[in-house]
Amino acid sequence: MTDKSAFDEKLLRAAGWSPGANNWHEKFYKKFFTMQVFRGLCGIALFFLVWYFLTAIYVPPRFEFIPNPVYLFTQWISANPENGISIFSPVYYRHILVSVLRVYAAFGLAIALGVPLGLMLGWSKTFRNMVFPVVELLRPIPPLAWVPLAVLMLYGIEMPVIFVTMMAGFFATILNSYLGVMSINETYFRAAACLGFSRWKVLTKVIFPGALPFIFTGFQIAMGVAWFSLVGGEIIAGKSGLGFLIFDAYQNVQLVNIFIAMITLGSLGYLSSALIRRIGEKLMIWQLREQGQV
Amino acid sequence: MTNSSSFFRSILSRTLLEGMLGILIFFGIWQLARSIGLLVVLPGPIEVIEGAPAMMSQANYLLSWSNSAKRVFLGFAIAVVLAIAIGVPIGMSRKLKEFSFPVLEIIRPIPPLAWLPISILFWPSSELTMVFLTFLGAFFPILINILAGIDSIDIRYIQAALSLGAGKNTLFWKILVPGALPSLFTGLTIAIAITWEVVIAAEMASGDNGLGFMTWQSYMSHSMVGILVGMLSIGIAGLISSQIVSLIGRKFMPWLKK
Repeated sequence: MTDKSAFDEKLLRAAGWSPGANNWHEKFYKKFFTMQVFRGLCGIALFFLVWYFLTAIYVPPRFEFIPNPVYLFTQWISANPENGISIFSPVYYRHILVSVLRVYAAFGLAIALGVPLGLMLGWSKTFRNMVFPVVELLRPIPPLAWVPLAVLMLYGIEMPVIFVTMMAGFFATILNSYLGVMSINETYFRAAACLGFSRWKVLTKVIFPGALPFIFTGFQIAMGVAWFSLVGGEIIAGKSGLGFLIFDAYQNVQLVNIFIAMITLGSLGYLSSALIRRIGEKLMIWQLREQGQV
Repeated sequence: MTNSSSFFRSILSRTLLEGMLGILIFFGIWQLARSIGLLVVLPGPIEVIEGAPAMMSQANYLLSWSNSAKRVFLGFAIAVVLAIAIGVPIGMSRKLKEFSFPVLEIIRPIPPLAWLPISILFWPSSELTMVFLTFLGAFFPILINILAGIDSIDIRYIQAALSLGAGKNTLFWKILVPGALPSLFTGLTIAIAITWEVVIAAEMASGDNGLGFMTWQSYMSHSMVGILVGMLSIGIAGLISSQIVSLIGRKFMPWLKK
């Protein structure tokens, strides 16, 4: 009897199972203490060590402009920072809030305008023939090249910045929604026609769900470029927000603040993209099932 | 006779006619809005066309083109070389990837333009700053796409090659390179668009020449025609660069017919 259980255990081990891993902490341990995580942590540790070495121990010329990581993080979490920005200062959160609101307003505008336009482009041939050349005419102009025009034409500070932030995502959404409609299998349209679907029903039951995967690709691109353009817009034309914080810190030579704002921007951008990806996965679970991935 | 008539038919196809109509309507609405006074600040298309030659015959107009193009090319070329030099070893070795990928993921989400102030301080000249930012904008899309390209290679190809006795060299040139090339060129197409965007912003913020600076100067002197000519030039420059990249892509990958 004992022989058999020992054999079972061997078999389980050979198949990569651990026989005792039924309690949660062992599962947790197995999941998070793998070689992959270990190597990743080593890489990050090496990165910070090199950073520390080049800014605190041996400082090559021009590296004096880069704050050392220990000082940077103690400033970031200190209750009274030397430069006025840390996780305890309300100003920091005000800049974050302004930037986040701008990005999401621009993102919302971009998808509210881009998705219907893109679907229309795919839906109606005449509309496509007439509007697509105009879209292609305007699309190559980079969003930040719109800054001077936006500042002169739109009122206030908010509208130009949001307009510039919206611009890139707008074209990405249009193009991807349109490609999404184009990617739908022709037989679906024929089937819908055979079943006597009205044009409206074709739009809601065939075109929209069929184009959804591409639409979400567009959303992901839009979110990425929104953060990108936001920084540019805020640096050139803003009076608040994280991009402005970077530029303001530059003008007052508060090097630590530049880095705090950069890291914050990176994390916020990363989180926003992750959020979109999660929503996309939730909404399109049917498609993953179809492909046998879930 | 038949030749010329089919030529005319293809030129005067419905698609093309409707496309031209669409663009005409776009400019028509723009001009109309200007003529009836809806657009107070923005000049109409006719004013832009009238004002453009004066703008374009300025001595520094062509110089702006070549200066911006030089920065884009330099940053892009450095990014391509470095991304390939770093991406190929990382993509081929799982250990190396697990080691370096988290660090890259920390740096990657920071928008290139957020590096602007620190690069102004760090690099000794504004020229280097702009090339560095351009490089930064192009580097990560190329790198990510190289990694994705190598990942997408079917393991069976490698197994088949190994069982047929392929050496490391053959494996690299016959499997890895053709397998990862399409994805690499996707990355290059994305990257070239970003480089123009970054160069424009960097020139607006810290440059003293180039197309972005020219547009910014027009803004400073409230010359709307200048701004529009600048935007149009930037758009055309971006379009030309993307076309060059996709042309090279087609040359390198003749098996991908489109």
